[in-house]
Amino acid sequence: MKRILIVDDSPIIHNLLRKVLERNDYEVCGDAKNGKEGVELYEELKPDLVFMDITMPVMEGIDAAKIIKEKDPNAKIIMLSAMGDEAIMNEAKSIGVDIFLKKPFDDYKIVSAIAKIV
Amino acid sequence: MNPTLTKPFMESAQNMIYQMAAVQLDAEGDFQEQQGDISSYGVTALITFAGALKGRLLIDLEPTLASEIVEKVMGESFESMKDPTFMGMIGELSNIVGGDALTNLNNQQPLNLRLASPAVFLGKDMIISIPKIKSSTINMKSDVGNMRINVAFEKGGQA
Amino acid sequence: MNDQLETYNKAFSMAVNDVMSTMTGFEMEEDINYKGKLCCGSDADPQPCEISGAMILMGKNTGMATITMTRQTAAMIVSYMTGIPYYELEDNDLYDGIAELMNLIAGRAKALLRETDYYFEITPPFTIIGKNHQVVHKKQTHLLQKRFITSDLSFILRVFHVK
Repeated sequence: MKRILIVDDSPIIHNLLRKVLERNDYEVCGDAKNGKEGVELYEELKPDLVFMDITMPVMEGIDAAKIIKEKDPNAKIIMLSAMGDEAIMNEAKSIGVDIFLKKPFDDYKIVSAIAKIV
Repeated sequence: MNPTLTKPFMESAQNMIYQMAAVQLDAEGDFQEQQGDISSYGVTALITFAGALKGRLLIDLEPTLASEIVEKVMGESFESMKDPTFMGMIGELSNIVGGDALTNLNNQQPLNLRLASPAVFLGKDMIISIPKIKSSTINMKSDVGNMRINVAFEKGGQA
Repeated sequence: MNDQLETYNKAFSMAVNDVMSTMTGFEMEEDINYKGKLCCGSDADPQPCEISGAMILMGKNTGMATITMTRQTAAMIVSYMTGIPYYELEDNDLYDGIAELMNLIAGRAKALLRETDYYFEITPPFTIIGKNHQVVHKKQTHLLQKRFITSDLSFILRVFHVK
């Protein structure tokens, strides 16, 4: 079973995403509520995949994804954000984010994205 | 107010709420300048944004519509709208609608708009008064309740 | 508590005291017995929330500040601020006055928080009116709430902030 780390400051998104992942046979191995916690949990848990929000307190998702990718170039990261303009998407792409998804999401959107990279 | 600035908010509300909860919202006419205070339907989310322009989005929902959306998205019902999950979901809704609208605006013009985090207000017979700022409102209808969107840009959207 | 957090905790109290003293002549004191509630109380609450002045704070740390009070308290404060007798105040005077009070408090706090991570940009203030309305700020990780009193009136300050 693939192990997934969720990094998002919204408890609602954690709750919704966890439900989608679990009913599709993925294991949520960790929940982080900001980018800094996400980086720390990534190092500790070594998940197969990370779902990362962008706008978060303490450390934003783009910065956290950059750190994770620098430490582990094979890390798989899906950015999940309410914003998805070209400037943000290009920035995410430039640091090696694998897939960029815009909220809202459903099972199909999440499962298809995971299938592409894991 | 310039319709190219306001229309994306109406379209995003329609699209996002339909995607999330399969609720069809129909606009009643066009955006009109808001005269006076806003008498809330009962559940209101307010989110500000900034970039080349500053502004805010206010989404005001009838409790029946808010409950329908939250129940459809969360897959559970809530005894009270005061439940933090209920209010959190309304905040998330405004984040997603606002995020989609700003995405479209940013792709049309180099505005580099970014969202702040939303606030949610709940109350019976609540009035929201925003002095000194011109804003525009559009009313929207659905089978399960009404909603209004109020958009304001500082200096009327002139950069 | 680190220095910046201490400055932040004090800044809004100082701002309330400075603004109230200058604009209304009331010398406010912090109610040290106030335990605080996230939401306003029930209809039976001895001090129901009827009017809130509010402002979204934007910056490295975003959040929202509110001042919440009864209609009677709001009328008294705005009357002292404007010189208009409270019985002649119209609804709009009251709503604008409380929004302006929030604006002044946030502006003063902002000046006190310069050079700290809690520095923010002010945004247009607004007023929420309704008996026992509730306010929730998403992504709130830190809530500062204080009750300010004089012998004549009291109100509650809340600052919802992302650390």
